[in-house]
Amino acid sequence: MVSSPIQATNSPEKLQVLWAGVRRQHYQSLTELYQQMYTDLLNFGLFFGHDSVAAKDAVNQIFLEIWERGNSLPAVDNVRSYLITYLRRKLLREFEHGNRFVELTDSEIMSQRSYEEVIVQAQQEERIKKRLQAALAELTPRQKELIEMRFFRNLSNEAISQETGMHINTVYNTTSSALKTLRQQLGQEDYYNLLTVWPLLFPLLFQADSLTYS
Amino acid sequence: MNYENYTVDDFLMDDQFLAYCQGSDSAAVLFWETWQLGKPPNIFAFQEAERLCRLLNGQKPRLNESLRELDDLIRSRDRPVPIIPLPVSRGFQRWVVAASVLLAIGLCWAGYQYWNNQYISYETGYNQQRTVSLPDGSRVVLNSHSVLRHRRNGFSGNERVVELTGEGYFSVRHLVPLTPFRVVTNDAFDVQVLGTEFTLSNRPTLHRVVLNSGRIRVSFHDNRPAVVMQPGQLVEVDDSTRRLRQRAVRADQYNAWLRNQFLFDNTSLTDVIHQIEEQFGVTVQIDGDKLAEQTVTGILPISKPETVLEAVAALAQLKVRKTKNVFILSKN
Repeated sequence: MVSSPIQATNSPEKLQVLWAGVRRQHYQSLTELYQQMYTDLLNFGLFFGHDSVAAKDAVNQIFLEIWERGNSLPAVDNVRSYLITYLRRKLLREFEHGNRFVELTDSEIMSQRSYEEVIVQAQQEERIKKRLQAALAELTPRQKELIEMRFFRNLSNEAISQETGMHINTVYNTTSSALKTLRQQLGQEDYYNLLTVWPLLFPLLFQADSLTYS
Repeated sequence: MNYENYTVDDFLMDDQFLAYCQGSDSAAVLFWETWQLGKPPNIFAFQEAERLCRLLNGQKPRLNESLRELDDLIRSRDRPVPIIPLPVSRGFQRWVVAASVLLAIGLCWAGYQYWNNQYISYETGYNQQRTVSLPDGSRVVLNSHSVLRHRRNGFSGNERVVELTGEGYFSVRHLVPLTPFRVVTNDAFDVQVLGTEFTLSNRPTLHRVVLNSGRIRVSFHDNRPAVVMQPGQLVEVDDSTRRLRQRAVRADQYNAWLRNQFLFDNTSLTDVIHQIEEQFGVTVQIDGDKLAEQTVTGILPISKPETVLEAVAALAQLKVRKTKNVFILSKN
């Protein structure tokens, strides 16, 4: 495994090229555009207060629509903001349809929702939510920022270094220490879990033994 | 790099691992999925790293899986809407279709047979006559108080069959190819006809055939041999003795009722009374010994029972009186 294939930043020029490809019904352009924009769009949905599956469905619907529209799609200056607006309308329409959402303005949502809130919200179990919240509270703002960039925005260490202007080693060390803190809080959970389910793990343990001795 | 020595933190700091975890790079996904199959000793660390990674990314669906969904979505739109087959196996479906078709045909056939086998009846009341045209073109004049019936398909086979109770004058059409016409009675005999005219009487006390023209064969319901009749011949079965009587007669005397007449030619008073009873549905009694053997000769118009009986009484030099529903013929 060599250097990162993850596209750190979606350059507007690259998105323009892909958009033109989609308008020409070039399928690979569509999938590449999807890969470029997926995390960004999903995060936006999450910041909007939707759950990740609903956001994913909306994103897929958008991409289906733009593929079917093909050359009747408008030429767009800012592909990213076009898609985000598209998603926002789609999600709002969906929730108006479901009639359980009071429309909020963009800024309200963005200002009210933080990364921490979003990822805590995304967890299913109440216990994990609490533990995650507690764990995140122990991090410094910088650590939090790096964790968000790495795990939420899917940036490589190199990309983070570029974006923050920090040295790659500093990025690495800061993120590592943040992870240790998080694991201390979140890992204990697993320790308790192991205590309660340990009889079920016997077969696995025996299998591990036989592997080490052979 | 030895991934088998990786701790949870090492995995989380590896960009390739992250690409696997988020599904953003298919090569990384393939690599780490294959790596797990090798049952590495640090599989727990790997799984814990994956859990934390997904926890910190907000449990977003993996990119590669979502992209596959989109791909399916687009492909399903490109194709015409598939016809969803019934959730029944083809073989079973075929049997069901075959069975229902057979059942439908069977029901139709049974219904048709039933319909075909139904009787069509023609009936006359007392002192009524009726001319019936049969499907083969034959005509039957029914005398009073008689029933002629045949099955709906009674004329479609290689034999024409009708049933008679009472009295009828048959004018049977000769058909080519030869198709026998059979008159079945519920009593003494059946008559088989080739194409002819005859009078058949199947009354409670009178079982008689008189042939006007053509040729008929009378077959009896007991073991008696059949009789082939010539025109102008009379065959009758005596009601009490069951003996067969044959004689040559003037055939048109026996279908006088066609002309609305009673024709008595030395007819016994008993027979006269039977004819009157059958014609009008009245009860006539003879009061006096040996009167019944007296004969009557004459032609009487069929009008009212009183008038006919007055005429008969006058011919036989008798008196007629009526008590309630019974006419009584007597000497004085």
